[in-house]
Amino acid sequence: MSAIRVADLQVSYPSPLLDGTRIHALRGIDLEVARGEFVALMGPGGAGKSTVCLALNGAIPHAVDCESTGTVTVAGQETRTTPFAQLARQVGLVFEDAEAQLFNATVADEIAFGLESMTFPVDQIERRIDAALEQVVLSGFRDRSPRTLSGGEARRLALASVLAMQPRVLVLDEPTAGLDARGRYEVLTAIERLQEEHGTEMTVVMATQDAEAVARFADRIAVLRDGKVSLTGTPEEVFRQVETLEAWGLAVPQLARLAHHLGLPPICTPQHAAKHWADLIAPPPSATLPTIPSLAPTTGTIIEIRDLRYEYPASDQPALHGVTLDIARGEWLGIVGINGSGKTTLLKHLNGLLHPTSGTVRVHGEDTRDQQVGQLARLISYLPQNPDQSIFCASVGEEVAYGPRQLGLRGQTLAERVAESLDLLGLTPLAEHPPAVLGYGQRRCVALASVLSMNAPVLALDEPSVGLDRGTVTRLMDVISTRHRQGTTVVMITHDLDLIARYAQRAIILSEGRICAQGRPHDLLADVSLIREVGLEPLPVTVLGHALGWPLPLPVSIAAWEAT
Amino acid sequence: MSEWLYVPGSGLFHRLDPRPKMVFAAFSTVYLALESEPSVLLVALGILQALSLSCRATRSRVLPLWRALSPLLLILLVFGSLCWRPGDALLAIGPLGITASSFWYTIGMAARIIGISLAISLLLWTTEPGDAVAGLTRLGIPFAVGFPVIMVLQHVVTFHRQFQRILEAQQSRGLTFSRWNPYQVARAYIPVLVPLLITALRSVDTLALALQSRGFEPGKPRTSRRVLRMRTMDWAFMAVCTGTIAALAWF
Repeated sequence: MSAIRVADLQVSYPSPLLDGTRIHALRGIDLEVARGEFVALMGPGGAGKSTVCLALNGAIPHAVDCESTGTVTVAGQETRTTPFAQLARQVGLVFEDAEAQLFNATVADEIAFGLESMTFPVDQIERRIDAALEQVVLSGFRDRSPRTLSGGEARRLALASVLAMQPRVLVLDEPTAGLDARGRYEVLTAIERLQEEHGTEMTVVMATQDAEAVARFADRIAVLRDGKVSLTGTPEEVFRQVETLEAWGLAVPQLARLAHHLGLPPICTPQHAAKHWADLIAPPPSATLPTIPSLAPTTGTIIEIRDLRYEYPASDQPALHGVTLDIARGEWLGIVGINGSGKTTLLKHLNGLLHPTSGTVRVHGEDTRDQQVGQLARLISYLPQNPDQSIFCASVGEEVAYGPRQLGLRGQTLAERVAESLDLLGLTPLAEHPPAVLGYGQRRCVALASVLSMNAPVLALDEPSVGLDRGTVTRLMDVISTRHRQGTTVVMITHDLDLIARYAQRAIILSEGRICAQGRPHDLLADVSLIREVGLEPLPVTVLGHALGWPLPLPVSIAAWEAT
Repeated sequence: MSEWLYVPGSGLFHRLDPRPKMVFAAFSTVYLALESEPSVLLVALGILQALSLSCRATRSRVLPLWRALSPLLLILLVFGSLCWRPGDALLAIGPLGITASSFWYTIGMAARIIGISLAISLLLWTTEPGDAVAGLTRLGIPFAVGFPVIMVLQHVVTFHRQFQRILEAQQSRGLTFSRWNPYQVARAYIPVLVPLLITALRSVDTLALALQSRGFEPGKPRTSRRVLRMRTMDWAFMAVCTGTIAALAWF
């Protein structure tokens, strides 16, 4: 029996350029989801995943400015003819931006809001609050303010606030995007518990770029591309199409890529692979293990940090303490650690956004305390995680020109610098477009072009891959690698350990405000107990090697097999 | 910006029903706005200050509130004092001078501003936002009006945080505020204010969808988990503050 039936769904939005044209987000989607099934929607940025989510809960056509044709039937109700508020009782939607979804003063009020709308009596509301909190393991958080929650906790609260309404269909839009390993684990575990508790009672649709999560949970995958369903099947069937998926800009689980390379049965999770591949796979020969993902020779020190301690005002715990670090000129340094470990605080010290409570930070030999942030911008370009924190100009070209113009560049030099940055990111055709109306991936490219155009010797990147499809990540990383080969020092924060393994020459792990380990990425990431101890999640191929008892050093990427 | 927000506590104000606190804040605001005698305004300010300091939870918020208001008070004291009012000059600087009446007028204005801020802050500091919404609803204000008001107050902190992040991002791109020309300073803020506005519009969009996705319909009946009851203590408080304000108005 179908829980969801989508037939020839077409959706178009008015162009944000207000020129009368329309953007066709969905071009005739057909999708059927059985009761109790867990379906993952995958697809590159702009494929229409979020639009499908909004169509399933009735926001399309009831609340979103768009035109739509076709039919969507959820839990036996056709969304076009059923009032939005009534659909809310059947379909729970957790938005991609969970923080924006939380608007109450306490966790309990947040969960109660939907129940109050459904005019539940007080005693039932309280019972359902307790039950929902228990389901997402937030029982002690009743009176906390949602604003004080971590990323993972906020996502789980958003999940609880819709679960309390006991929907028959749960729609999750990028539930793990931007979370650290711990937050991701918390959210995924909550979803796993739901599946176990509800069985066929609850149907789940999850739009995501997180291939590893899909491999772990989904019964079926529907791949969206250019507003159409291009591929459907079980995870094993879909992730067998490695070349096709990568050509479409999609992530493929690390073990699926390995299976594809070695011609093994398509298994995507380390637990299953350890069980079924034990006699089929051998560790890669250690001679072929990459020593360092070497990209550029390093010469001298460009950043010196000595005994850095930093305390935020009104905080009794130091955000950083005892941090001593030298960053070599031309090096690519990766910084990893869970949320709250001090990564962004450390990065903000490099360009003077924060000054040490004690200790020193020197860039090019100059103490950052003696310089304004605007002056240090000549030496360090900082790319924040959210591109919308910097985009403000009327055109992409102007946006990219803003930084170098602030540094005093004018005329031909400025024009050449802008043209070069636009070209690097493939933005030249969009130079006259307003950046604010571009898609998320393109806005990230604009933000990166805007800092690259400043041509600073150090590039500080805060989570450059978050929320992006694999194709865009690869394009951004290729551009950064090019700059690195030309001598730019790169300091990169990321939760994506695969990026560290592939690009960084050295990595540091921050935990509770201090450097708890540093060294070559392959050595650090292969240490399963260290990675778990600091709250991170080892890469699947490392877990597989650990489970099969392979000799050290364990692999962190499949590059070694690919090299043989 | 969190100096305006609820702070958990167990003092008298925290234990009161939100409705008498709302009536108190409204009466105090109207009284302070209408009263013109500086000495009475100072007495009223003293009472409000004493009430704020009487509870351990709110005590920590008083100094930050004064600090937040200090730029406004400074401008008021300088320009208000220099605005010529009749009387002998206490201090003359060229064509400008401070008379006793302009000095006391300015002191009265400052007491009025701080007093109103304290009266409203006492309500916000000691009332959980959920209770405040329930209180407004019980006073006859529709949920669709009361809820957004309280929600916006909560979101001021979020927007302030966003402002800081955007400011940092633009400073990292070379933005400086070293100019003293007001026009140039205002222009320098454009790269900060435009992203803030775009972010705010996006947030409002998501928020509207989130509200509707959880069954919210303006004008439709709702239940509330916040059960409010007026007790003897609440009635007594109403009587005392009404009496005090009446006495101040009389004298």
